[in-house]
Amino acid sequence: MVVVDPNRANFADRSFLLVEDFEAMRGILRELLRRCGARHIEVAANGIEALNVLRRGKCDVILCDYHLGAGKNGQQILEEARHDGLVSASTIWIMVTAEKTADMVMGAVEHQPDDYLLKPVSEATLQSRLAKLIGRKAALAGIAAAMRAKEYQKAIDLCKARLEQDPTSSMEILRIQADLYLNLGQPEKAGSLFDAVLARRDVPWARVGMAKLHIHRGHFSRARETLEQLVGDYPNYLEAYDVLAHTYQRQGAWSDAQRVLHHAVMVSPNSSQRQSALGESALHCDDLDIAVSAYQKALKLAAKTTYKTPEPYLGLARVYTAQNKPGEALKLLSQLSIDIDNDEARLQGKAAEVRVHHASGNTQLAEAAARDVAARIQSGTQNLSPAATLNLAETFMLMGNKETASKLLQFVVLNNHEDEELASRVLDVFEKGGMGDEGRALIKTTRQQATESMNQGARLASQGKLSEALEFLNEAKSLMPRNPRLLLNHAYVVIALMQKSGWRHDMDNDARRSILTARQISPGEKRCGELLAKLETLR
Amino acid sequence: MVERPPQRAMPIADGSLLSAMDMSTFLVASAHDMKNSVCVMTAYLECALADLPVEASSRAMTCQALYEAQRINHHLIQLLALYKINHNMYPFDPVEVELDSFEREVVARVLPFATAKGIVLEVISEQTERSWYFDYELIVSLITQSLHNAVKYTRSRVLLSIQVVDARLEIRVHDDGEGFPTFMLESSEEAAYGVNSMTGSTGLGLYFAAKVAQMHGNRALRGSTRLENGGALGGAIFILSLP
Repeated sequence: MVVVDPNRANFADRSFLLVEDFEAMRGILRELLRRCGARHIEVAANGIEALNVLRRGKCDVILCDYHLGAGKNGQQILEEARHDGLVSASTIWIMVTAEKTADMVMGAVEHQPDDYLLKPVSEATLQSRLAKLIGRKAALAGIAAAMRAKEYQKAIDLCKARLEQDPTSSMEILRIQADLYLNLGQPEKAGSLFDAVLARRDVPWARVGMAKLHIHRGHFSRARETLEQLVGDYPNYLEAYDVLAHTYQRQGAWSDAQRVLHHAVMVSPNSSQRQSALGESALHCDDLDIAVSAYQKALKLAAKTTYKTPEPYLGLARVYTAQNKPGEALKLLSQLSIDIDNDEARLQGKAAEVRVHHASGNTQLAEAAARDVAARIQSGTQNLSPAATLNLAETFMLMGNKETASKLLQFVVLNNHEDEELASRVLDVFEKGGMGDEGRALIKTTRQQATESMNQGARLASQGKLSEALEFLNEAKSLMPRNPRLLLNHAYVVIALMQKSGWRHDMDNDARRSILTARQISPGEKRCGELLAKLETLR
Repeated sequence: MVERPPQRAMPIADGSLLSAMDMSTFLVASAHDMKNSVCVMTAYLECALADLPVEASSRAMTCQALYEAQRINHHLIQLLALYKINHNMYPFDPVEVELDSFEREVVARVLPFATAKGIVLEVISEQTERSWYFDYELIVSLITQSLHNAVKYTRSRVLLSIQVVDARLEIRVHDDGEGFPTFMLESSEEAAYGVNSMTGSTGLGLYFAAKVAQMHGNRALRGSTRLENGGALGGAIFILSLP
């Protein structure tokens, strides 16, 4: 049987890059590419060489070995190339590997290569895969471009069109579409997609998708049930372990989280995020040695990538503090401010410093840092997650600064007035400061105050008094700048005003900022997607 | 490409250090290393065979060397995969696979050997479905090995058939050789998969096949393998069935 490829001629016009550290194999693969009809072939022996070639000029097809010795592996090169814009949406990236590893099938879709080729690679396989990928790339180019431009609604429409055109590619498209619905804050639609897929057959990714929806909705027990069943049915399906560990963490079941993460890092040790999650669980379980080792691995892995997060720095600083090594902790926090250059990370670092100084008995330094952080948070321009704010408030309580602690706690309640679970955690902190009764009363009145504001804004809007409503909401926003409900109400009123009296650039910006902030705080919020779509139509 | 062992193998000074090491680390790392070498060997042998004139006297030997190299490669792949599967460390990832490209890939992997041996490789696919759902790498490895065996034991032809029967994908590898010995058809699973010093079979291939088939499921249904004699070519038939 001879495999004849109709696209053979195409290969001669395309530029290829071959990344392979093993000289003999490099020769073999280059010869293979030549026999397939490739004419322009560059070669590289490692990540540095590969990125240099790409910086000199884009390549159409990259054939990259996954294991490249001591330097960056193929995945890390791919991420860096994408991050630095060295490959475009039409570039085809093929990972060549002797064996499938967990790192390849895990992780976000946008970080995955277009395909994997298993060694030994034959001429016929290479040729038919290349032809197929070129075809698929062309078919999905529009969707990929829309996703990169964050035009999710457009990408969804393209998915729908594609599904009508070619029902055979359905699973892949459905998976992308479900991701898009989640990005747009339309979990119901993602849910019915998962249902439809699962009605056709039992597919692990759709079950993980379902579990993620449960988490979005705060149904942690249901998520847990779904995932525990899933890892029972597919003990080798790793993504389920990560999501399950996350669920355990949200439920406060830290030792369960540690157990599943321990398993997951044994299988696939190369994810900084997973190592960091293990560190966090171990820290909560007082397994400080494991926590140190996991966080250190997380930092080392992050150093090779372009995506750095503050979590491993903050976590390891906490472990060092617990181990009575304040010097190490402070060194790490100053490293954080160098490695990650943004306001949020800086604020988190500053808040962590307060704790280190306090723990090492350096009261004056602790108080100075604390005042600084509290002022920044309450201004609403810089923010900490509710959990981090609670931690900080707890430190204030321990330092005896009950007034600032109460203000921070009140701020958390104002911005999350509907969150029962958070309210009870706020109360815990009040109780730790011996302010149980006052705390309970304060939480109650604060929640009432927030609800009142919501109602008043909505009332004015429904009476058609839009300008008045906007004025009122702007004022409320200065009091609760991180309340997603309020932010969305604000966006709603701004949009309604524009519908009445025409589009304006500054108002569009205002509404967009509110929606995006709300989505960042509460990613599952359905109204974000609706309001964004509405905003798109006004332009 | 080279998946190096975590550290360079050091000369071991005394027995206590050796016993303290986990041998499986060495086994896995060495298996990776060997696989890299075998891949290069295979590629060179395929090139050599393609260049050799049909009447060259060294052709049969080169062909045999290629077969043996591929056999080693299969064994290493399967040993590594089984090691991971048994430790719950294999990244099992069933995906939607287009059957025609699957078919092309497995055929391409066996074609040089079949051509060199003068065996005709045929494919029948009566596909009511254009795609099916399975772990691509595991099933490619499984069917490639089955085709290799068939090419070795057949007289003149090997037939790969792919069809959907009762909501299951059935992949069959037929040959026109002697067929499986009776004990393999009759014996219990344990016997068939066991090491047999008479035949030289390690049972690895069949054990791997059964294990991989069983990992694939759809709700209550699981995958399975079976051996038969007869069929379209009158020789042995290996059957993989995936729900």
